[in-house]
Amino acid sequence: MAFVELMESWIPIILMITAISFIFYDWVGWRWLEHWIIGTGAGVIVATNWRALYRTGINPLIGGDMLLILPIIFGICLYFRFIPEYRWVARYGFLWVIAGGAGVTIGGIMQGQILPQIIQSAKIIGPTSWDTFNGLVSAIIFLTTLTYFIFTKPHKGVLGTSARAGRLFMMVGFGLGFSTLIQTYFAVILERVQWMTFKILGI
Amino acid sequence: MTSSSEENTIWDKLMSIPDNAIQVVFLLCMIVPLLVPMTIPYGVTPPTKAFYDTINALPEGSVVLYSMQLIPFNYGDCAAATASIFNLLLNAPNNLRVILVFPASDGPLMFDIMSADYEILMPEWRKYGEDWVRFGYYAGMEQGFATLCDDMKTIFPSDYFDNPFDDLPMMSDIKSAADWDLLIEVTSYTAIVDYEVRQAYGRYGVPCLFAPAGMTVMSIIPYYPHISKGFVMGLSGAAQLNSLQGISGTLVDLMGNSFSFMTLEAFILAILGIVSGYMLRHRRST
Repeated sequence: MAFVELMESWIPIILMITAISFIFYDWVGWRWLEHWIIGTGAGVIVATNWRALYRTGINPLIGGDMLLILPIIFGICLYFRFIPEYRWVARYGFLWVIAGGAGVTIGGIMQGQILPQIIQSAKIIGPTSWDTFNGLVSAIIFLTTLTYFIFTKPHKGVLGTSARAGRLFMMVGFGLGFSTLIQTYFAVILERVQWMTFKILGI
Repeated sequence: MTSSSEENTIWDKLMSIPDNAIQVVFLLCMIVPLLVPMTIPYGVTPPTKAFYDTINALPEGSVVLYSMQLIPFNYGDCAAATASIFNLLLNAPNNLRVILVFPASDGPLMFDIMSADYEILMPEWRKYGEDWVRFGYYAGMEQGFATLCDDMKTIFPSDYFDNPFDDLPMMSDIKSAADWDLLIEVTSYTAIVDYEVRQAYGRYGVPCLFAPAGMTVMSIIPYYPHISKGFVMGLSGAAQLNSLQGISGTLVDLMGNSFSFMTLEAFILAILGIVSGYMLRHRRST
């Protein structure tokens, strides 16, 4: 195997072992790797965003679409944040980011998120008895969890029982969320370990 | 104070298993199934089946926007699902037209790595530009995606390989989200799912299917099944989707099998830990 090919295989393996070593102790190798990851990540982000800006902004501008000069100027305004005397200029850039973001979000929030969620939560009767049972359980969980967040009345009697049930349901939900998080970590470590195993064994 | 006989019950012993022993068993559960043919049989979950059925039930020649938020962090969980779904889209009997886009800046790079690592079954008759098109990364998250929904050409005047938008035959009748029949998103970032629902489903009524990483699945559950008819959850979902497609012996299956052993070990340890903890607490209280 040529030296270059050997390095292509072993440098990532050594880097990976260095990364995993953080589980056991923090050392200079890990910290160096951490900086390297952040640096290369930033490099990729700058390069791909520059490409996106060139494709959608600068290239059409050169082609004669002069209106695009405005968003580019407002984008440049954002960088004035780094000059203390002219910090206020950055606000003109953020104005578009925040106002534009809010406008775009509000447009689809009712039709996309709020109404379908309410309709779905109210749907108890399903096409099969199993669906109806599921709908009933969902409705109970929905209502009991809501009652947990009623703070204007003391949690006593029916409200107290409902709030306690709601808290239990939330705990089940959080537990499920945590278990799925662990599954992601399993998959991440598994992907790297299989890669390393097959590389070392040459499979 | 407890007596010595009480301290040596099975529950005490279970609670004092050394961490190193657990880690070694965990490592074995990971590596041995990769090297030795051993399988835990697994079923296909209803969301994965629904995901598969929804794609196969699309009308002939439907347009699918396939968005992939592949980043180094979620690569282990999402790459397998990305490959499996891409294979399904390319080989579905209804000749789907597929558009690839990336909401994360690392996406195009990670897609190339994924294509090299996992087996992409590209049929010979599938032609680039006519049956599938690969665009690049779109900047701006929700604002960028909203523009993509309104006018694709504004965001992508050219494809990833710098072919002008107008030169791509497939895109001649696909201009905006109104021309999409389905949106598929592979992601580990909840915000992307939310803004796609707002923009594509909310404003244009485009049906969605999601393939979340394990850690994101709880955030897409509220959209299932009325907006997302099904979902494929990370690596385990990818292995199930492969079995539905009749694909076997690939890296996805191998990893899915290993994943089953790891999950089984974690499940057994969790049950033992809960029972032991409960028993010890019960003993202390009595």
